[in-house]
Amino acid sequence: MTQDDIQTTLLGVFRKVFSDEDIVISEEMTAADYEAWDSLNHIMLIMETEATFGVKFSNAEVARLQKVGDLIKLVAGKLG
Amino acid sequence: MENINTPPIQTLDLNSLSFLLYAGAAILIYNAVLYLSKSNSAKVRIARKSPIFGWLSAITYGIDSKSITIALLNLVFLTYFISGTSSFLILAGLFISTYVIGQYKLRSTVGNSATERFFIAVILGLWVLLFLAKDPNLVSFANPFHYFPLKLIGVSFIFFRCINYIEDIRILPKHGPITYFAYLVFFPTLIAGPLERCDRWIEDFKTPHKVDKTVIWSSLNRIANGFIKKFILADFLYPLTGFGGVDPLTTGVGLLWLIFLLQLFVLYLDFSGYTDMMIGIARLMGFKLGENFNRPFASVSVQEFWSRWHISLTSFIKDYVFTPLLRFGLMRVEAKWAFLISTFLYFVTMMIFALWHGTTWGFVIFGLLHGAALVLIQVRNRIKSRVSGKLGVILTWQAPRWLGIITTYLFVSFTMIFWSFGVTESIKILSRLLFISA
Repeated sequence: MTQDDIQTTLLGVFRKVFSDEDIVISEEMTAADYEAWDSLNHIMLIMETEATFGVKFSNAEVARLQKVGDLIKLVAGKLG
Repeated sequence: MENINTPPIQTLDLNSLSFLLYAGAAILIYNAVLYLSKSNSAKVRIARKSPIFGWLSAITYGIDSKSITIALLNLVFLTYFISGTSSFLILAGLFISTYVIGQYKLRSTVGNSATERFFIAVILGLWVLLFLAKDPNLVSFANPFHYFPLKLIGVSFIFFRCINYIEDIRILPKHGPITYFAYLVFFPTLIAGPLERCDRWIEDFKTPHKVDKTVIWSSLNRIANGFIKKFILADFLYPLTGFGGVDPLTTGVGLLWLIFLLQLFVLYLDFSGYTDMMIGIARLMGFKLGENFNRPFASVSVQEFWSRWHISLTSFIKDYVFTPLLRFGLMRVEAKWAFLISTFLYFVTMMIFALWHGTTWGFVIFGLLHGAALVLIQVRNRIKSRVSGKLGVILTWQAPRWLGIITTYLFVSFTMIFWSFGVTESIKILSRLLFISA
């Protein structure tokens, strides 16, 4: 799966978690860029991403996520 | 009543001149070694299949002039602050055992639930030991540190680093035990942080950030600012935050207001001044430490305050307590309980953070008050996103910024009263401050 494919799938995850069909994501996007992206929704995003891609993230890996691009790279690394 | 002659908030005890001299010498020595050493790491030995050979290779990895220098510099500094053989032995035991457990985790299969449960138990054990070590009188009959004290300033930060190490071991850059030891007792952050993340520290150790003229100038500038904030401003204002024979229950309310408003500010000058100095010193050794303060008095809410004050610790607790617990909780319940669980965990992590500051009933009250404030903020945000119409507007009225700033400062200042006085006295003092009683 390419990083672009991952980003496309991830967009679906974001739309589901935030119940917002109009949301767009970019590699540089952070929680500060979207009002509803609080701590709870952040974890929902993580869990939904894990479920969607069939991967598991450690606490250390989650702690290092600063922006959407980091999540894409993390997923890509897990998928091999 | 607590001793009313001593200012309640203790400033960080640090002899400025000898510390600066030591830091200066350490910076020069370390940079000299960096300049003279030809490579950044020891030659990597190829480990054969034998597990013993693998362990030997791991333990001897990374022993070079750089790691030995920094470990020695930290060790010499440590001996100045540590007292008693038991303290030293306990620290050594902590270092060795957490290193070994970390290496074991590194070599264990990910996802094996039995070993993962073991590592979680180790982390929980370290948290318990952290509190017991910090307050040897806590549960004194069962507290091993009551009998064998670990008399060392900043002891809880060392435990945090051990926890960080074991949590992060699988993503850490390759390192040896000397490097881990140097991280544990890194002298600029030994006394009171900033609590730096293990992966970043090891990266900065392996590949130090360049120290050029600009960096030297800005770092010296930062150290000087920190020095002035802590050793001049804070030390000057410090006696004014105490009571010097004055009884807070009978003295004028105006004076009470002055003292309690000043305390938080002096604490900020002291702590952020110390942080500035340490960040500057570490930068001159090639380490970019994380920030601890981000204009905390610009906060318009208690929640924002804790994201701007003592950031290295609050972010650590968020990443290694709140988030893991939330993930754990959400995996086991239906989605409808998610908000309740996250709100509850805000409260719990706030309590942990409060109790880290101290383990008297005063700190429990402090935690309850701040926890309650955080819960109210969560509920308010929830309402804002759910309720529309007039009721929603009323319930989620946005106060003007200046009001938020003032209220937050007052709330934090006044809840800090519980740090220094007994619960009953604190309540009496508060009711005087709020003009409820005379």
